[in-house]
Amino acid sequence: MERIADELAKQGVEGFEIFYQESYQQPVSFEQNVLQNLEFRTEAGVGVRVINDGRVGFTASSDLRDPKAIADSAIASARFGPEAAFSFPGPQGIPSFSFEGGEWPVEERLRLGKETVAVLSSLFPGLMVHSTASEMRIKTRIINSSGLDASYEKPFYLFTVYASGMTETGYLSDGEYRFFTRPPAPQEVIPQLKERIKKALTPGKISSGRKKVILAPGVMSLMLESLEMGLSGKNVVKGSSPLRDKLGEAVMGDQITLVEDPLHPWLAGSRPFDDEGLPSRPRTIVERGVLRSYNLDLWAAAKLGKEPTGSAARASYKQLPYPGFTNIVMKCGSMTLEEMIRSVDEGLIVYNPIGGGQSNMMAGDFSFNVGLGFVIARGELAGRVKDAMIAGNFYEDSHRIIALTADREPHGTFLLPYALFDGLSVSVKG
Amino acid sequence: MKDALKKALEKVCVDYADIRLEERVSSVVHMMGPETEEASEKRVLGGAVRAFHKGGIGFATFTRPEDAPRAAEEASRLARLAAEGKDEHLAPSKPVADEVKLVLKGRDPRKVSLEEKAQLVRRYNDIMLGVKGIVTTNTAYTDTYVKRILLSTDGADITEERIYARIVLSATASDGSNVQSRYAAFANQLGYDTVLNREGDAEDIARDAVALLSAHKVQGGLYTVILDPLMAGVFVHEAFGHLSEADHLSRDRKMQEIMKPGQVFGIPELNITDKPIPGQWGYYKYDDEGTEKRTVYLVKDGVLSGRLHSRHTAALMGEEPTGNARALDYSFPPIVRMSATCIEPGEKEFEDLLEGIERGIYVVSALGGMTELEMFTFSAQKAYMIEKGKITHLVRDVVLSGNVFETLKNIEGIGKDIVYWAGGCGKGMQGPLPVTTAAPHIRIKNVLVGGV
Repeated sequence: MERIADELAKQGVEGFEIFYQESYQQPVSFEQNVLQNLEFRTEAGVGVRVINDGRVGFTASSDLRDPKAIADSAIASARFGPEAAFSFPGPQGIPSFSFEGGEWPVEERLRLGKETVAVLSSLFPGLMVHSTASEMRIKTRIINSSGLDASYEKPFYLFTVYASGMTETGYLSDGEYRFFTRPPAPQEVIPQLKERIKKALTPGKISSGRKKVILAPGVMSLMLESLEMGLSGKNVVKGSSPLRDKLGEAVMGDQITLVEDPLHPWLAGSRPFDDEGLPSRPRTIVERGVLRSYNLDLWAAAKLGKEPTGSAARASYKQLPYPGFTNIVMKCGSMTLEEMIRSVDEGLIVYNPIGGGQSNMMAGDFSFNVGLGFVIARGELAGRVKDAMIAGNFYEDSHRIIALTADREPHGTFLLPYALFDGLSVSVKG
Repeated sequence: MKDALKKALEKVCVDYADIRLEERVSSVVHMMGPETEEASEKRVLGGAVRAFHKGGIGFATFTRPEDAPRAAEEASRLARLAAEGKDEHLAPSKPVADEVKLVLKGRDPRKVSLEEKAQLVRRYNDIMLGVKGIVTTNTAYTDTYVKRILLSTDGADITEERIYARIVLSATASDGSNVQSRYAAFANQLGYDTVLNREGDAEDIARDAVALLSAHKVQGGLYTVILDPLMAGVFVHEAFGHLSEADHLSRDRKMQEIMKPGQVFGIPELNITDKPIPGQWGYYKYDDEGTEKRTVYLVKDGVLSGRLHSRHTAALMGEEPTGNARALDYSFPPIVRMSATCIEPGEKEFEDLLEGIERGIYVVSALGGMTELEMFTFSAQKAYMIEKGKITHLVRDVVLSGNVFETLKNIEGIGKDIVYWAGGCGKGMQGPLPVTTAAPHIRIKNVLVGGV
């Protein structure tokens, strides 16, 4: 990295930023009930941004043997790049923060996979069990021409388990995944999965119309993906966000309060600073339905004349930063899930959607098939729903939320309660 | 270089091992609205060793070629550990020594300057921004040159070059509260010329996005639908292609029973293939374990007749490898994937398909699709109502969903036109992988459409 920096300085660019990332992961994968793959994967590379003649250039490479070639490529690209709306920040006060971490050796992950397969396949002999347990580590370092030099190493632990196969109620594919900065415990996922699959073996029936619907955290997360697009400073500047000019206004139901917590001890999105080197701090995004903050990286903040929110994210070292969420924690309600189900006379609960991300997500629209869901009749689960579609618009339908559970479950980088909607549109075949 | 890689393989002590070394050089020009987001060139070099031992698979990557021997050792150790009392094999595949060079029609994208690419993107982008009602655009050019060396302990020695060039045109219209987008992509492996002369398409896309603002949302329910070739292509990929990937079937007796060759899956006019089509987006000559890709009839004359295999799934099911083991890039092990999945053309004209539809939907251009094997959903960019056999007005937010087996049997008519589409497929953590879909217009009865 230093050699690339020296080269860029020598060529007299106005500014530069070098983003280095090195990762390794060791997945243990069981497929169709048997141990299939053991892997050791590593990757490393740099993404280099420069400002030259008032324009931004970028290049990325995994081949660090020739720093001059990398510097030249970045400088050449600046000729056609965007105008530099921002400058790179100097050294920042980075919050002291440590990931929860933990030990999760290969032997333990092998044993966990074996036990998971044994438990589920003996309970459900017709189903195939698949499970992956992986340990990952990502080292990130950012240096720039304003003197910033910051780095951290982040541990990741992934545990997925799902069961699939043909059953009396049709094809079933149900699972759970946990992605934390500490090793996930099997009891966080296996017991509820067992219960759900048991119940999924009985068919249920529901008619079309507006119904009371409980959406599990895994379905609610689709709505937050829509929101992430709307909050993106990039989309606000470009005019494509439905939330542009809506700061301080009620944009969704007042049951919804969302806090971004990039310093959460074990949620997977945590980090001490963002992918442009700015310090992380918790902030309220939506307060009782009122929009409080956009996600702003350096570019979007400069364009909107606001302070950056530490929201710069990169899909990998090969990509430019964009504004995105870290961890989102939604304010919970007071009911237990059992009480919530008991309060529904006729409706359904949905755990997994099929095809949720295909509608006009920017506008908040959703439309998905119920992958795993159950009819609720007189306060009890009454069989699996198949071939039903649920459609609506998140911003409009969020006003229909009448209750949230007190318990929250993690889904990726989200920590969310179950939500009860009064009157979502359900279309059913037959 | 090759000799060093060969040496790394010589030392391993497993049933089978291969080594892939991959170089990827890409260029990107991306504009959003009036501004350029990115104009850059990137280079990624890396490799991986995959070892197979008695049914256990070990996989290790390396980023510096000198680390190949260490990766070979690691992969072998992991494969032996993963074998765990299994006694499985790889189906035989003739080891090939071959060098596959680029075959281009027109210019090599690497010989076109970044400046020229930037000008082209700006031209299309300006056309879309010039349409009244458009608030922003996404115009992206990418090209990626890939050179993959594959060596195996069976004696495979293959160097294959490919070059992908693609232009994506996307326009977003808004009237304040409502936001609507349309996009189109043009892509193949034939060179730079494929991204040229798309001015008319840019204009059409922008006008469509504006028109969608005043379109009604579709009413949910059951409809007879006509899918345009792009939508039909996504349908066959999602609904049937994934079901034909043998890694879902190889140990699942129940699913094997359902997917038994000889079962009737549709009308006798229905033929579904997965095949190598040189120059198309999903094309490769050899897959990522060195098997030559061959044409597979998944459905022939309405009857299930084949599926897609890697060497491992082929051995588990006692069938032949089909050349469908693909990895997204060097950093992933190959898994069973599609190449170019096609509904073969039938006899019907478009007007024949419209005939007799009392109330239906003509669905145009796919936005996306997803499957859970038996159930699938896919969404359209735009659609038109069909009333009394005539196309009437534009509707939006059309998401179709159904059961694969029922829906295939509900195909009533197959058109004679065929269009190729370049798509990106996701499976597991590996996506988007270049695939091609190809299909004519098709008509399907009783399709569930989600809506409010």
